[in-house]
This record gives sequence, C-alpha cells and structure tokens, in this order.
Amino acid sequence: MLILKASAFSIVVCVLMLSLKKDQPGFAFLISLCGAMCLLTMATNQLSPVIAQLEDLASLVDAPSFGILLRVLATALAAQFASDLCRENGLASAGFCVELLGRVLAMMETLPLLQSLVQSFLSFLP
Amino acid sequence: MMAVFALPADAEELPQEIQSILDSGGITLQDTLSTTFSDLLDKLIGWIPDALHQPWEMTRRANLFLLISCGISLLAGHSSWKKCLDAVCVLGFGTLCLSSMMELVDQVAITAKTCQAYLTGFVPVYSGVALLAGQTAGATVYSNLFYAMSAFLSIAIEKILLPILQIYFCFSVSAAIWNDSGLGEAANLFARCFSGLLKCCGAVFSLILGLQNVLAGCSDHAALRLGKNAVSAAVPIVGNVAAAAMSSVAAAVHLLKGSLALAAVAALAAAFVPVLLQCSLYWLAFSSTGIVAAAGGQKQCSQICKLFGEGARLCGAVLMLYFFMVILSTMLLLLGGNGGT
Amino acid sequence: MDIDLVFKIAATGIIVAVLNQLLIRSGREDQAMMTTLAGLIVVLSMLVRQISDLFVLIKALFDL
Repeated sequence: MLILKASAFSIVVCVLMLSLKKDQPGFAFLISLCGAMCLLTMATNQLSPVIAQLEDLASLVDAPSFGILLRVLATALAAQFASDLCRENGLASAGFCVELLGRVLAMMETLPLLQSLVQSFLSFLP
Repeated sequence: MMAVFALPADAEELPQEIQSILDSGGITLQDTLSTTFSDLLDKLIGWIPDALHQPWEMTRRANLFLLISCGISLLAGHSSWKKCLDAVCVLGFGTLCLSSMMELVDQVAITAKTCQAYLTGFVPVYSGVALLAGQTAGATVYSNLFYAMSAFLSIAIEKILLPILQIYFCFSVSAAIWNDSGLGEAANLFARCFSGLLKCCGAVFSLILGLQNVLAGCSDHAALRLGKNAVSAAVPIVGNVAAAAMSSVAAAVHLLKGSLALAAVAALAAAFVPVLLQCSLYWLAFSSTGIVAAAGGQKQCSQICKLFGEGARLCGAVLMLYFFMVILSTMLLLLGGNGGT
Repeated sequence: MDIDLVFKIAATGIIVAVLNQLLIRSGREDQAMMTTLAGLIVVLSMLVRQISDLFVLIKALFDL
C-alpha cells in the first residue's frame, strides 16, 4: 500500500536528515526538501484522477467558479508548503511573506467571482 | 349598462363580452359542471412537470456544486486556508441560487400583472351581471372598492413587496458570505416581519371586503323585495306575473353570474397554481439541499439554503394573498344574494 | 521523482561531511569549505531539474 510506503520513506528521510544536521546543515535541508518533494509527487500522482472526476462533475453543473476554486486550492497548497519550509529552517519572516503573497493571489483569483455577484446584485435591485 | 346587458328571459345567445370572458377561462360551463375530483387531480398533476423543471435544474446544479466543494475542502484539510476556500465555495453557491430566485420573483410579478389585466376586463362585466340580478349595492362594492383594492394590491406587489423580497435575497447571500455576524439573525427577523405583514394585510382586506359585502348583501335583499312589491302593487293584474318573471330572470342571471364566477376562478387558478406549485417546489428543493450542505460540513451554504427556502415560501405567500383576496370577493358577491323569493 | 534521489543526496552529504572533517583535521580549511560548496552545488543541480518537473506537473494538474 502506498501510504505505508510513504510513511516508511518519511521515517528514513528524518533519520538521514538528523544524522547530517550537526555537521552539514545545508545538506540536511536539501535532504528534507527532496523528501518533501518526493512525497508531494506521490500525492500529485494520486490526485489527478480525483481532480479529473471533479472536473467531469463541474462540466455537468456548468459553473464558472469551479476553475477558480481549483486555482485557489493550488495556491493554498503551494503557499502552505513554501511557508512551512521557510519556518522549518528558521525563516519565520520569509514564511509569513510567502503566506501573505499566497493570500493576496487567492483574493485576486476570487475577484471576478465577487465582481459578477455584485453585478447581479446591482442589476436585480431596483 | 343595463341596456347593454339586457337579457330577455328566453335568450339563446349570450352577449359578446360575457362569451369572451367565459371562453378566456379555457373551460366551458359544461366541462366545469361535469368535472369530477379525479379530473381536477389530473389537471393538477398535468401542471407539475412544467412547474418542476426549473427547481429540479437548480437542485441538480446546487447539489453537484456542494459535492465538488466538499471534495475540495477535504483536500484543503484543517489548515487556515480552509476558510478561504469555504468563502469561494459560498460565493459560487450564492451566485447559482440567486439567479434562479430572481427568475422566480420575476415570474410572480408577471403572474400578478396578468391577473390584474384579466380583472380589468372581468370586473365591469361581472358587476353588470350582478346589477341585473338585483344586487346593486354588492355590484357597486365589487366594481369600485374591490377593483380599487385589487389594483392597489397588484401595484403594491410589483413596486413594494417584490423589491423587498429581492433585497431580502441579496441580503441573505451577504449574510452567508460574512459569516459570524448578526446578519443571519437579521435576515431571519426580516422574513418573520414580512410574513407577519402579509398576514395583517390579508386580515385587513378580508375584513373590509367581508364586512362591506355582508352589509351590501342585506341591503340588496331588501332592495329586491321592495322592487318586487312595488311592481306587483303598481301593476294590479299582471303584477304577480311580472314579479314572477323578475324572479326567473334573476335566477337565470344568477346562473350566468355563477358561470362567470366559475370562469374567472378557473382562469385565475390556471395562472396562479403553476407558479404557486413552483414556489413550493423551490422551498422543497432548498430544504433538501440545505440538509446535504449541512451533512457535507458547509455551514454557510446550508444557511443560504435555509434563508432562500424562507424567501420562496414568502413569494408563495404573496401570491396566495392576492389569489385568495380575489377569489374571496368574487365568491362573496356570488353567494351574497339569490335575488330573493 | 525517485526515492533513490534522496539516498543519492544523503550519500553525497555523508561523503562531503567526511571529506570536510579530513581536510579540517589536516589543516586545509579553505579546501574543506570549497568541497562543501562544490557538494552543495552538485546536489542543487540534481534537485533543480526535479523541482521544475514537479512544478510543471502541478501546473498541468490544476490548470494554472
């Protein structure tokens, strides 16, 4: 099962990182980065059929907001990943900035939806 | 007006205006008299597929959207981004529901206008026939007070009540988007006040019309009896025959009055009932979608569903008020006098 | 992205750490620093390609 493989892999990565942390902190960081990316690749490969299924459902609904929803989700995941990576290595300020950037970009994605809602308010009200 | 609608006691054909009203209902007198309960039920069931189409479309899209947003918030997990994703889901859901609700409100406005236009043609004819039947006071009440009140109600619906409902719907969407504020309770209070206002209006109108009709009805009987006594006293030999002829004419006109009233009720029902069915189907749709949203953990979407269900119910209540006010007055005039004996 | 990549990086890291210690002990600290830097650059060049592949995959998946 994939989840057991992933758990075992994450334990091995932790051990390797800790062994190099004192002597070569740079390499330790690169090992943890590589391990996180491998796990992310595994998750992404499993995610594509789920996303395809959701896209099929969305084509039935015929709503324009599904694409926006998906993009906001991607922004959220990427921003969370980057900010956690920064915080792990002591860069709390950089982590905060990355998260801020993520939120701003998500808000910008949502802007067309908000605009269309306000437009419909104005057109319906007398 | 009595000359225009003069009916000899053995007339075979009805005047043009009366015939057109009887025909516009789409139902002949024979059909109405021979209608059984199962026919009525069949007719009702025949209206359902048309009324079902839009609510079903909306339910399908809303439930699919809820499914998608459930899946996506599962992917987001319990991070701080969940709130952001929930807000986007609520925006999309609100836009979806708002468009169908606005269509419903437009439908209600069109129905009220159609019925008012029908009444503009119907009321003079009906009150003319009632005058023939000897209900002078009742006919006057019908053609003046009732017509004025129905016109007022129709304009009130179009210019005041329906815009208020539109504001309520927009307000509900805002309340759901800005969660954790008092806007949700404010929307609930708004709905309760509105339904209380409708109940008051209904009570006031029925009181006014009922009272007036009862008072007018008493005076009508008295007027007719006085008229018959005067005829039989003034015309010594044929006075009784003339008085009897007056009774039979009054009876024939009463039958005509009945068929006119039936035609009006049938025509108005054909206009109202489909839209009323649609309102109740929308209420059902929103209740079920609210359950699905609450089960999926989308609290804000379920709040939208609850508030919109209330709104659909209020649309139906507005229509019911108008419909029953019209039917009540017409029936009161119909039953208010039988021409005396 | 392979799981083997992590082991490769770990192996490179261990080798560089050992070389580092050897060079420091024998008094050539500047060469030790250059070895560390070289190791880091080699590993980064290995990783960068993999990172860009991953981001292309995510972009394709979410339609960004």
